[in-house]
Amino acid sequence: MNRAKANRANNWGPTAAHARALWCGLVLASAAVLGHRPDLLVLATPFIAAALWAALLRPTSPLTVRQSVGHSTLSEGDATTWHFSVDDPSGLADDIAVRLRVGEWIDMQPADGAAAASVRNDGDHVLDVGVRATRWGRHRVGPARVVASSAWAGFQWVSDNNVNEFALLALPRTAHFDATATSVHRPGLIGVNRSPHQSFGTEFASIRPFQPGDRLRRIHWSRSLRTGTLHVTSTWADHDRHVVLLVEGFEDIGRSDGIDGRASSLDLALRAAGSIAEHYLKVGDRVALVILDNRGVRRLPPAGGPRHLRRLLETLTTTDPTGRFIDTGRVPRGLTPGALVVAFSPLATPTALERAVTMATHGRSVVVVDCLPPDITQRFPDDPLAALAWRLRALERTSEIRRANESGVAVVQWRGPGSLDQVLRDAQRNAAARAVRPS
Amino acid sequence: MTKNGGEQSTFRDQPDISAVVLRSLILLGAIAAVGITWLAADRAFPGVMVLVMLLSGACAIRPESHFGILVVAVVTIQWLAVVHNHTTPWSIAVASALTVFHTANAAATVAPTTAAWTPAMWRRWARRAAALVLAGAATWSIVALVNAQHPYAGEVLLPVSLVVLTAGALWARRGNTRPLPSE
Repeated sequence: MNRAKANRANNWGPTAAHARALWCGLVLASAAVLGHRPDLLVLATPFIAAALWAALLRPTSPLTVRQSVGHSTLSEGDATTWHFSVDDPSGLADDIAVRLRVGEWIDMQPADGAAAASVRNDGDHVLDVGVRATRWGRHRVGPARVVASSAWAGFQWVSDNNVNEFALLALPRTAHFDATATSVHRPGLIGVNRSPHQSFGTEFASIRPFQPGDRLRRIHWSRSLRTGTLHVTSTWADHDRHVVLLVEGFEDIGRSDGIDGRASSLDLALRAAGSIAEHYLKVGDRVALVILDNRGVRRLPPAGGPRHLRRLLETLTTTDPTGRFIDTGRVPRGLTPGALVVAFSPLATPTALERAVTMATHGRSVVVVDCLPPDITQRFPDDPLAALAWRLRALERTSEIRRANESGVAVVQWRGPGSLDQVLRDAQRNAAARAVRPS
Repeated sequence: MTKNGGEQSTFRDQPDISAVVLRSLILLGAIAAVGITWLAADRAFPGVMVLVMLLSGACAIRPESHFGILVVAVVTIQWLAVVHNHTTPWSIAVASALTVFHTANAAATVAPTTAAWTPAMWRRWARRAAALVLAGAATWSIVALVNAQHPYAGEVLLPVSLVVLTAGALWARRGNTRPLPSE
């Protein structure tokens, strides 16, 4: 906006209503006098009165507008309030109306973000607009167009449109994920999780006969006296888990209706990744994130704690499926050997499974969460060729998934809480089998 | 529209009831002004009614436009042409109808069509419109009184009115039709 335009936008200007009142009043009164028609004076009186009223109460100073958003970070489906208040130094503004503009995936209450109030008689809260993020991502809230009117709507003030635009960050909605399976073997035994192996730890496992190397303070004296042989208390080893979430966001398959409707492949991937991250971080594990999308490879180093969950969810929202980045199928660098890699992919191409197989052959436990919307073949009622193509692709995927399973890669469809339990148990058994296999 | 072509409920342009009421008043005010003129003249001019309905319909659609001036002009010309009783009380009714038309037209510009008016806004605009109607009635009373006492009083008041009108025109030119200079 150039300077002249900005100045005009910040001043009170006359309206068509004022022009109508002014000129109708003057012309009717002139006609009454010149045409000797006093009845026209009666018709002219309301217009003249309205014009005088508006002119005498013309505001001269621009309003000061303040806008704010209650919470700048939300989860999908959560709502906050866009607050608006105005300071009228001249005290001559009568009505104020706002219309909030938002980006897509934001619902508003009122539906189109429009509100009106009397400046002096209604409180500021009348102009509050509820905003609700219906999908993950960074969304625009604002700018708001503000129009203030003086008496008889004779003069109006329009706010500058280019100010006060807020960014609302909507984090993926995390479902409560309850994995009860123990994790695969980890070299570091320092965390809070129960290992599938018995060793030094805090959680009771069993009472067993003494073996060379057992500490004396582990001796279970009552059992030893009762049986006559030395027994010790054994415990499950404690260890931390290193989970790597590998999100493939090269494309977003299927239509997304936001949190209230159907989910696209990326919706499923991010919500599943968020849920799994939240679960593992809550139990004290370390979680790393690797995003492969059209912006390249982005990594979030492994860490634990609620702050890391927030960082992780924020990083997930930056997944960008738009662009033409070619997925070469290379395994991202920096994946810790022995880590549990949970990959999220719609498996639209064989590349993702090939990458998973490569990681598995390098000794990592890999679980692939299939994020292709289950009803993808039914989502093209008007395009039989697209539906046919997806059915063919589904057949190919079945074959590819079978081959990946044979290579030790578990592929599971995300169905919410508990989706990974069986897979993690299988992975644990496979790891145990590998451990006893002679080299 | 959503990213993938779906319908999103964000920008539903469902007009609020207040916008519907105001636009109805715009139409009713203009139609009533023409109808009352017919009653005052005992004659009907359907063509004028059609014209006024079209113009007031345009005002209802775009209240920020200048179609309202045309509506007032058509009503006034019809009044001048067919009503010859200069002190008829019907003039109060026409003035009131035009007041409703003008007020509703102005009020329709203060908020988007989807915004709900608060009770305080309705009360203030109704009070002020009533004040204008009373002003019109007071003017008619003065005109009728002066005309009854001195049939030629209008001739005496002509120079005074001209002076007032000239002052009004100068005042109007001085800045009431332009924005104020930049702060």
